Amino acid sequence: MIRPPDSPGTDQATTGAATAAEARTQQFEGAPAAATDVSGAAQPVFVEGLNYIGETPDGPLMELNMGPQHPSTHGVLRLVLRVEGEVVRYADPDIGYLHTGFEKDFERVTYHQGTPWTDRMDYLSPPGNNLGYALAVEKLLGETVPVRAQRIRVIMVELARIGSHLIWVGTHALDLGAQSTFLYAWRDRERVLEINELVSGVRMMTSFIRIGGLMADTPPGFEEAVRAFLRDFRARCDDYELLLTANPLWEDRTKGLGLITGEEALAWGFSGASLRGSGVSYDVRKDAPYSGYEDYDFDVPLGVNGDVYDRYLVRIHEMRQSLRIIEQALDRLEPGPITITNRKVVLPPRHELDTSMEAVIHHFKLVTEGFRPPAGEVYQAVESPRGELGFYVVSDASNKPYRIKVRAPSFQMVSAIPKLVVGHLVADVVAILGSLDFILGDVDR
Amino acid sequence: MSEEHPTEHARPTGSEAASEAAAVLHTVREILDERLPGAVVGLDGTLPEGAISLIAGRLVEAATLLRDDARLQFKIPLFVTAVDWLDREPRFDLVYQLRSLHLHATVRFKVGVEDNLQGLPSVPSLMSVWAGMNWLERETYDLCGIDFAGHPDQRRLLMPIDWEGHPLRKDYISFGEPVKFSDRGSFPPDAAVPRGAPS
Amino acid sequence: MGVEERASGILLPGRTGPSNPLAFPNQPHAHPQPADRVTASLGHNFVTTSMNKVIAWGRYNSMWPALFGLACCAIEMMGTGGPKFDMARFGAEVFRASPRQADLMIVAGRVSQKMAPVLRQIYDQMPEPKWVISMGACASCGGMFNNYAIVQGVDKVVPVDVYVPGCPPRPEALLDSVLKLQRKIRAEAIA
Repeated sequence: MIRPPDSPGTDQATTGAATAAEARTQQFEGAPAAATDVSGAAQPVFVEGLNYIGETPDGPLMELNMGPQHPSTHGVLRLVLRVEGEVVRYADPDIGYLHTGFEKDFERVTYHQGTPWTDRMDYLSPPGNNLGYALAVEKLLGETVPVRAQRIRVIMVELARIGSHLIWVGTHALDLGAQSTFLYAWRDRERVLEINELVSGVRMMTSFIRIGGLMADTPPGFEEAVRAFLRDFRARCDDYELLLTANPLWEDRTKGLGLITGEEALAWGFSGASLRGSGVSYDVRKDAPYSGYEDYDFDVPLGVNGDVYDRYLVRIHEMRQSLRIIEQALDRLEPGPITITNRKVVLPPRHELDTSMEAVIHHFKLVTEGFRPPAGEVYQAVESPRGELGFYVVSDASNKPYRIKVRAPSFQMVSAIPKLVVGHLVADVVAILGSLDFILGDVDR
Repeated sequence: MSEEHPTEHARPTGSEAASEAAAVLHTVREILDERLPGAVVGLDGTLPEGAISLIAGRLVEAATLLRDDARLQFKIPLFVTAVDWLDREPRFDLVYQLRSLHLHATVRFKVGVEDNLQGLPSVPSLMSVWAGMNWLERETYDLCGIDFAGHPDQRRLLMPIDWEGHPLRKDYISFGEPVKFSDRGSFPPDAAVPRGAPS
Repeated sequence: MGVEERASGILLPGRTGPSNPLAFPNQPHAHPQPADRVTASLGHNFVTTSMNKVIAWGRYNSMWPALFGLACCAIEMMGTGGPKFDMARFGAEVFRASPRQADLMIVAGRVSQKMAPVLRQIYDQMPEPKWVISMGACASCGGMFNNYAIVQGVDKVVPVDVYVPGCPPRPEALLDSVLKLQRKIRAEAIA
């Protein structure tokens, strides 16, 4: 509904023509939807959804709403952009469209029951979240899981990292027009989901990595499935590079965009590939290793310029490094226990329920009440595909957590979007959003 | 299944990790006491990791020191949050966690904040020290109701703009829906009365 | 000759059993005996049906979903459109970003309080006829999030045609829901 400015001869005010015939033939000047009155000074015309909110020295400024329903915002993110033509002059991310109240929910369930909640936060790599939460609570309990459990955890988490990076490369390329990459990425991700399903029964929300160890031991066929995946995926990584890395279209659309220096990225709280793309060597797996990562030999790829292209290269190389880690963990895998022996924390094995009354009582108490860790607080960080995912767990010695704060890596990156996007074209906004690899489940929690 | 499974590759046990964390904490505390005497109230001794308690008035100076001192270089803001101890004075514990790549460690700071009857409990904003504190503080304002004095853009982040109440406070009861079961009346959630949604 | 014709020819709607009175209104009980080959082949080249069926066939075989992936279910929805499960075989591959061009809204994911008005607006912007599939437990009933932040079921906001349980539902489950919706549309009348 256009409400034209109040001026005499309103229907001709937009073109300044004296008669209708002149209006039809007169050349329109200026941006198509901008209205100028007879005197030539721009008047604000309010069209539903579009607001001309002012003038810059170069032209009118228009407020655009990008999202929350948008194919390229990687979730329900709303960006309020103020653009001058195609150039973004101001951006304000509006989040909260996926706020689920995870942290409040954690307070009303027991520690074990909290594991499925962690699956759904960063839903592109659920095992990574499970691991962070399990490690935090194990730190609170002062427990360390057996070696076999640690190695299987590493394998599942690195597979999840590959799965997450595949979605990233598929959707990032899809946003910039390379549609076939999306289909290739999903073909490979299905292999990862099949392994998830083999091990835990669920494709995505595995809840396989639990407090005190694992849900169950890996079934026969696990090792063959993972080795088959390793064999095939190495060549596939090269395929993705073949499609994109030296592609002049890709380079044109990604080089020199979304620049951020290492110091700025640190101040904004970046972590993960978004930080490493700017050359800062920080990977939680190297800096504060957990679950046996100090024993694996892998490199951390670093970028140079801090632009979209470098972040893309960093993630592609991270996939290759993940393959190295999985191979090493798989080679060292030996039979052994997969949970700690503390029956007050971990469920007893099913066969013991037939013979041991104590096992039945422990099982009952754990399922109905849960365990009570000592009072205290911990912060445990893991390297999720997005960056440093941290769990701050406060316990008051009861069976439910008193407060859990999840330090989400994507949160910091979305907060820095105004800084990265101003001065670029609207189409570049899409490329920059894709390169940050944030996920709204992580941001909004 | 043996009880004594070899753990030669396992991570250091809880006590070793705790001692590493304690060493970092003492280093930080010493430097703070040396450059900013009086800022540190004490060491919060909660296990397994400790935290340093600061006073709110010296918060900005202490933060700037932590970021800039060459021995510390805490350049990464990890998170800010408030823990609501409902029946305690001061009611809120404002918790900051920072990371230093130089020391390869993180450290936690706490500031005790009282429940202000006139308005929201308030601490100075650290946005001038780390740019990443912008949204972290907005989120804490939105969910826990802590006012950050000097924050240029303090408005709700995750909840709708006109939401009433701060959901992560302990006296905010998260309403849900009573779930109907066929064999009994219903399974009520924590509270029956919705709170916070503007009517 | 009529019997042999029926035995070797194609069974057409209205041609089994007694002759279709609409085709030969003057001979209600006689079997059709076309005189020449052209007229004989007419019977094999025309399908008699009803407007309802044709329009429903057109609608359900090319339902264009609006992109409304919110959370984890969106990833499985993308997987359903991916190469292994391939929703394209059912005509629903073309995910339209603009609701004005879509006729199916798959609400994939949890709907928060802030998102509910947006959901309603997108639904309102879709032109008729439109259908809604509520994918996953969160969209159907709030799922595991029975708290202040999540709307307990999108049927509080929009009318839903098919509910798909799961957290997230497997791609096969989503395909099953699309097929069920197709059956439902087949039964819908346009008048």
